[in-house]
Amino acid sequence: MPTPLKHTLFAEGTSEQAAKQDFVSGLRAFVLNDMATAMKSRYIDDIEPAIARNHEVLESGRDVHQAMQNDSVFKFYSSIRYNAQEMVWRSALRPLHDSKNRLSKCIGAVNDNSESTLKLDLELEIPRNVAALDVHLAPGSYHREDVAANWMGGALYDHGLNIFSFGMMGNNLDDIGQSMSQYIKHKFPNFSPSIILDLGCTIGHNTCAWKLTYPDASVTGIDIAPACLRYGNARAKDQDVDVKFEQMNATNLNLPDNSVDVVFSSMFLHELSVKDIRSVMVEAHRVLRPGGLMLHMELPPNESLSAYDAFYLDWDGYYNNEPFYKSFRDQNFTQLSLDAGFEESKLVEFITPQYSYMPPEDYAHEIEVDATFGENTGRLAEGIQWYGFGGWK
Amino acid sequence: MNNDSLSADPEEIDNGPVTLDTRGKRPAFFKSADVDALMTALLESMSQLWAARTQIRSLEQLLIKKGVIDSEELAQFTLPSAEKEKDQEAMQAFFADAFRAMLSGSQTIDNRQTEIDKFQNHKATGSHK
Repeated sequence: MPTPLKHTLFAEGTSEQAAKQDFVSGLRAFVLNDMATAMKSRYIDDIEPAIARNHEVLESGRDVHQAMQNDSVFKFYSSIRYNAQEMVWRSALRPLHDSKNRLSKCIGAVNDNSESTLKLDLELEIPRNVAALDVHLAPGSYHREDVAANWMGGALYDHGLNIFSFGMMGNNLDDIGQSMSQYIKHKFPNFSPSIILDLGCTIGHNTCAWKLTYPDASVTGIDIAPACLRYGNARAKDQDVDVKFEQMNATNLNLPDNSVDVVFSSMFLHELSVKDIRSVMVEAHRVLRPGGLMLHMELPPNESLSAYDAFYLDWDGYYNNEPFYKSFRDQNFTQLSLDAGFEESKLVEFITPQYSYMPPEDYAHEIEVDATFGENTGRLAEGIQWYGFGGWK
Repeated sequence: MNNDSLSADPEEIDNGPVTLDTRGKRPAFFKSADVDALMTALLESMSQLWAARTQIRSLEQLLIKKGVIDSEELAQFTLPSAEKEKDQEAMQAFFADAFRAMLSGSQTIDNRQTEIDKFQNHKATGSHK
């Protein structure tokens, strides 16, 4: 359940507000564990056999979605999950509004003295795919800037993710960054990156994790949303993690060729059109030095999953204001990397357990055997595993 | 005021209205969109109930621990009018939360698919495999 965020920018709220956040977080845990299990049982026990009796086969996630749409379990699962998503943001926003004065003072004071760590380009246009909708149903989206709170989008992301993830994304909401960076460190111990870039970093929660794994590296998070960068910079400073934040569009990096050792992203590509994803990967290849690594943490491709598991993960594409989600996951990720200029022999693909939920020595042991795709890959529930892919230049 | 410098005196900061609503239409999962709206009201009510339960339990335990009240005193107590007025405002805000879906339209799944396809610059493919 949501625990206080690990920094002084946490808007604690009243006990009533905290109780509502606790309720929403618990509701999400119930939906994504118990109701999800019930829905799958319904599919296996009733829906799929009925289809088979008609001598039909459900071959894809879209087929399963079509078959499930009129079923009560799907309807209630979806309705409760959709409402819970709205309630995540609503329960996060009220305490944030109440704390606006204090946070404005704190964040402003930090950012006024952050010439070296916060670089904004306020002329940079927010792309249409970002500005046109409220991704994840977040009111105003993550580039939201309220009156006298031009950091609100970032704060909303941080506080919302804390409720949304019901304790499943790490104590500092950085388990993805920790798991990805630690996997690389364990599997490639001779790799010592000195410049690391995190694309679409939002508030830098996973960016900071890379700095903790590679403390000698210069780590920069980039995003097109100034609100996230302002908040992220203040957050990192508060947690005493030395990372930089720069406003940039990942499809057109303001960086020289061969200048970076790691280009990383997490839960980013599926928010982009396939055209933009191709541009991101071409840019990654361009800015990487020879021997550098492009690594994207993502939901797994649909071709690697059963029709049901593909349907299950596709839900966000239909109902969570993530219109590019499915078109990305319908791609062949290997081909995307090849098309960007990476060689087949140097491609990377792996599934990792969560790093921050076990002793480090247990993690090293867990990743000795390569994990395979399954229903836990990318599914936010007990036993989740994170998927990453990319390539070495 | 420089928009990038927010270390201003808090008294000068304008606390504008909070935007709680997501842009775009809500999906209709049930045959009748009215059921979708009822689900929203139900879940908000459950949330409010949980919050109230938590507060009541906390208060009871604290008051008993401190020996401040006994059960008979609690049963006979009524709120002063200023507090009752605050409760009325809170109730209206609760209604706005619970019934918000009943005040807006919804969207069929087919229309939602068409919108997604348009957004991706695809033509809708129509029938499934």
